[in-house]
Amino acid sequence: MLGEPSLELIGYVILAIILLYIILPMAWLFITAFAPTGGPYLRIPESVTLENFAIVFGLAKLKYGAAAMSLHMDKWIVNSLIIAIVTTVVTVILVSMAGYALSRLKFRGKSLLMTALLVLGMMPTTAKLLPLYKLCISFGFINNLIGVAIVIASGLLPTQIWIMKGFFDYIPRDLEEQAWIFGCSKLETLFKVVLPCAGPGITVVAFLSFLAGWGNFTVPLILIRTETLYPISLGIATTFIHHPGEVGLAVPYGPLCALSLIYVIPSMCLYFISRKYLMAIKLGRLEV
Amino acid sequence: MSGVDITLKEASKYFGNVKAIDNLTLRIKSGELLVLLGPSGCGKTTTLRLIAGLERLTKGYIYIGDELVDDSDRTFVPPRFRKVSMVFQSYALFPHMRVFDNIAFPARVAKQSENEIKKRVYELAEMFDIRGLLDRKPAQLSAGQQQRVALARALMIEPKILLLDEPLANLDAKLRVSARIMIRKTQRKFGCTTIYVTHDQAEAMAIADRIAVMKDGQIQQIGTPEELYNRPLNTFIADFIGSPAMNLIDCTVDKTAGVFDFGPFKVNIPHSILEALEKYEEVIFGIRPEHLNVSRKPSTVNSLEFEVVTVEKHGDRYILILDKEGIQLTAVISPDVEVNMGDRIWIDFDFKRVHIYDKKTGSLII
Repeated sequence: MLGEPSLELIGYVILAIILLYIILPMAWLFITAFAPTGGPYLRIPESVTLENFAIVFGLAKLKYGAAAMSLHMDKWIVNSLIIAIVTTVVTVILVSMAGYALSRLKFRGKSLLMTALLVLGMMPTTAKLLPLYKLCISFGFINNLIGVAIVIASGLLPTQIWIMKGFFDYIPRDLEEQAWIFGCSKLETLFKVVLPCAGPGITVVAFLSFLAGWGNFTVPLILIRTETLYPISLGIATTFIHHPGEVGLAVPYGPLCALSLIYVIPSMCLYFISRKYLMAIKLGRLEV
Repeated sequence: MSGVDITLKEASKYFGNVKAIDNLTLRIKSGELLVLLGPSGCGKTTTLRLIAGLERLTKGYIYIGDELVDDSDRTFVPPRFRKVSMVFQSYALFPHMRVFDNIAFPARVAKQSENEIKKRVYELAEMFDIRGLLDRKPAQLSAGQQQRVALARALMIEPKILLLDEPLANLDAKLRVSARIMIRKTQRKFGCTTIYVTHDQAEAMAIADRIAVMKDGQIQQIGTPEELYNRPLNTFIADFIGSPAMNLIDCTVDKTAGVFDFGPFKVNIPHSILEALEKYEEVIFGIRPEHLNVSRKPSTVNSLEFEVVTVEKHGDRYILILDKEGIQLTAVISPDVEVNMGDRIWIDFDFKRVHIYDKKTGSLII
């Protein structure tokens, strides 16, 4: 009689299957990005090339299939960067100020405001889309990357304000009072004491809003009409939309995979850079 | 360098319906170390915060020197213009700054030259024995080190007023003794007017020029440690100052017989104090444990026999709990006498050391 497989072994098998499920698409992306030819199949290529990346950055021309179609992948990367950075800057500035005010000030209707923020934060952006669209037209946000960033930021603010308020709540009031006694004005106290202490919180907010701006699809889909102003998310999607029903070589799989790889890089980098800060958070409690 | 007077005049601070400070008048003399002593919630920290400018008065006035800094109306000088320094109970060290930058902080805010700042930080670091810690972050310091850094920082700009809010509360017993000696020495050296908040009466007695005992937002008594110890003005202070606490026993004045009636026993009232007790019937009889005369045999006709319930042998002194038919007394004696539980001993009251309080108001009669 065979011995029963140990529980541990079963665990590993299950883990391996899950791993395969996660890894395979990534592997396909990686292999196709560096292969001379690629398609909706997984095949080990005979040689490795950087040509796909050259195409992405506009340094080489697409040789096959949709060669006639102009791709603006280099521009898409820049556009995505602009959206992400502006989203981050807008969010961090507004969220720090609002979070600090909500954490420190007492005013009438504060709890109502906090609840309203929470509810707003839980509402999907698409639900607010129609009025938002009208508003964007009057603000001139159509075909405007800054406008896209501001709309994305507006969707992020409510939840981020909650997060930031939590961080400020954990900064002891003593620190501020001590700074006042030593001669700081309220503004000096904010910049010299409170914000540096809120460093981990601000890192979290910046991290989340950068990724939200970088990865957002819905807002540019509605506000951006010109292909040269597409961010990566919209670009990748429309490349498929441009070739309805076509399969195989009509879709430029190689450059798209290269672009997708590039698309992942900022998230990875940001994670590794801010990992130290993120680890220092320790449930938001500031070590004094 | 020297300090400056601080005056609180009819000062009140209410938080909603709670009277944190109630009609308090207090004058702190230039260069003195005044301890605000009281149980938690008595308003001592609020008083400190009012002087620092972290709270505004509801009523009354605060003067620093001759300058009106808060009149509970139009005039309010914010903390940063009051030239006060404060050490919080939490020490409030800035966690993102090195020790050096923490100490230098007040001077940098005041825009002093970086050379001068460096010189002074090293000077203070030397004085407080933290020279080796200047590159560390506050989180890497022990409580005692943090406390010294906080004090060094508070003295960086040579303040005229130094406010200390329970500065020793986070230290262990041994460190506390050395830290309070250091604070006392530093205060003498800098000569700044110092207000020191604590709930520990032993700490207050050890460090203070004068002590203001507070309760329910009011000052119960203000005076030197000796004055508070020798002549506590009411039963609250009598009970609060001194360890072990003063014996306070209810009794009635029997004027016709001329005795204090404790129930199980009576004590003759000396003629010298009989007149003062004329108007009173129910009183509280107070005597400090260390002022009881304890002997093996009755020394006078007034001696009372008590049973020893417990003996705490502290080495330098014995603390006895005595009982006579339900009336309990604490006594402190020198360890020369051998006393054991269950022994019977004799007690005498030295009426020069006895305090009689009115039972209704708790205030001192004689």
